[in-house]
Amino acid sequence: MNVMLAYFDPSAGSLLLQALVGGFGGIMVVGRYLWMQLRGHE
Amino acid sequence: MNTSGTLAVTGNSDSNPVPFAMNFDSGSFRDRSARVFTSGDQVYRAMSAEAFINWQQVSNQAFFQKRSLNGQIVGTEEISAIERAKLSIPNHVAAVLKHERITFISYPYEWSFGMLRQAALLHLEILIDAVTSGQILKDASPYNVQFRGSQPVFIDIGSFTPLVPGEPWLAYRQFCEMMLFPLLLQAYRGVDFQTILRSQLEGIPARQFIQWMRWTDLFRPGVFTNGWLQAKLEQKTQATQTSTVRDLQSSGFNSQFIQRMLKNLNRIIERLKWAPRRTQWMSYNDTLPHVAQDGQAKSEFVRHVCQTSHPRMVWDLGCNDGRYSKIASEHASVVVAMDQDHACVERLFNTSFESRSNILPLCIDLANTSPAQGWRGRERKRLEDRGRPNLVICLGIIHHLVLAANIPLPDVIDWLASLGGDLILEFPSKQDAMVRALLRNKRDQYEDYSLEHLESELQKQFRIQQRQSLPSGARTLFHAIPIHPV
Repeated sequence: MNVMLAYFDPSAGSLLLQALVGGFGGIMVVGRYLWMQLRGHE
Repeated sequence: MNTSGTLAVTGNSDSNPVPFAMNFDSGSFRDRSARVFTSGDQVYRAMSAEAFINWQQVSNQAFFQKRSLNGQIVGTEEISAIERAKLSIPNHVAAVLKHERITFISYPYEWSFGMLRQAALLHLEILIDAVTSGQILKDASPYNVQFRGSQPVFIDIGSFTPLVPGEPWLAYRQFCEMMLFPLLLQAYRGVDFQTILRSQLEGIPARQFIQWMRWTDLFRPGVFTNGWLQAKLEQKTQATQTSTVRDLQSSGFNSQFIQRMLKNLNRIIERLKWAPRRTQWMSYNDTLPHVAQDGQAKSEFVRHVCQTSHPRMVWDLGCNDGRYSKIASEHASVVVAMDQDHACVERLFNTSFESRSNILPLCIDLANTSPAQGWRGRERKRLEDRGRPNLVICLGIIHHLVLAANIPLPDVIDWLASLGGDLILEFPSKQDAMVRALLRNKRDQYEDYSLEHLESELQKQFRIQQRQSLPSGARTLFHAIPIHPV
């Protein structure tokens, strides 16, 4: 088992999902979130 | 965490501090800020300063007061300074709340589909009200709902916290795993959720839920988004250095998304139906001759015992359609009606819920009753440790335990005596048609199964108050009173 996965909180996915099902506004939120993640990894 | 259920601290800062012991409920340790403890017959909750402020805020909300008044939220009040002094509450406890006592605590793995569905709906309705009023529930566990008779009651007052703007509902995943997925499994695939929830106390993960679904189920309400998509997101989301909650906040998440999701979940669960296949037990009381012949006499016997003994709590073992539970319910505060057949329990719950009766139906296999389990085997109590019945109704069951489950007769009587209440017992002899059917394809190794042996075993622990032969001719009823009440 990947050691990092043991420390990963799988509820992160369920948090994102709450925005995803929130219609157009929610999808915009997820877009901004993913953009932040992308920039964070640059 | 002190896992003994007892928190030992010192009293005031005088030179001889008095050791203080607070008996916390062994299942109340996850939320340190609002732990439950008992003293005598009373149930209390020790609140941290923050938890107490949260309670003060929510208890002033109109929805909270309305739902408390109509019994959907457990009755709660702050105790007086005098009571606090009597209980020797240590200074670090900011406040203590006293709760209405629920007569019998039951667990989701003992509920029928309809019971879990009502618990989920109550949870969602309270949550929708709370979010509208700027509050939220930090947990979404079905253990936070109990049943007062057949009616669900929300009991986790410590779960209300102020809604933080831009923060998602942290308990959504827990709601899916412990309530939504078990309900969908039962409704769409006919999988009894009780055995799963009994072994997996944290519920059913999305990944496991999806494995039970057919691809056509993806088109049914609730499965694709809450199940499949959630499972995929859990797998794909990479470990990040930052907090998803904070990142979502700064990305513009707002509470309207929560409201929309809650209403969607509410709609899905409201429309969920489970149509159980007809089991042999569902028509048992209508089709068999001995039931028709003996039914009237048994009803009168049960009524007479209830009228004379005024039991507070009755357990009806093997309740089937609940006809004797209903008689007992006219005389008792609560009747816990148990049957291993999920379809029978569901049917009894539906009628009890509609009539708001004081019958609590539960799915219980008497040969394998709910054990003590969870953290250190103390978190969830065994069935027998959650209350003493004053009267146990045991009709049409003993031959199944002895001849089908192969439990020795003295063991069955010993277990019944250990429950501590009066006993109404029906004994079908080997001449009875149903007993003959049970033995038809078995080697008869049951020499101990006789009326004489039963009476001799009963008399070791009970005084036989009344004995009556039933009209069918092969069955006898007993009313027995424990010699040494527990």
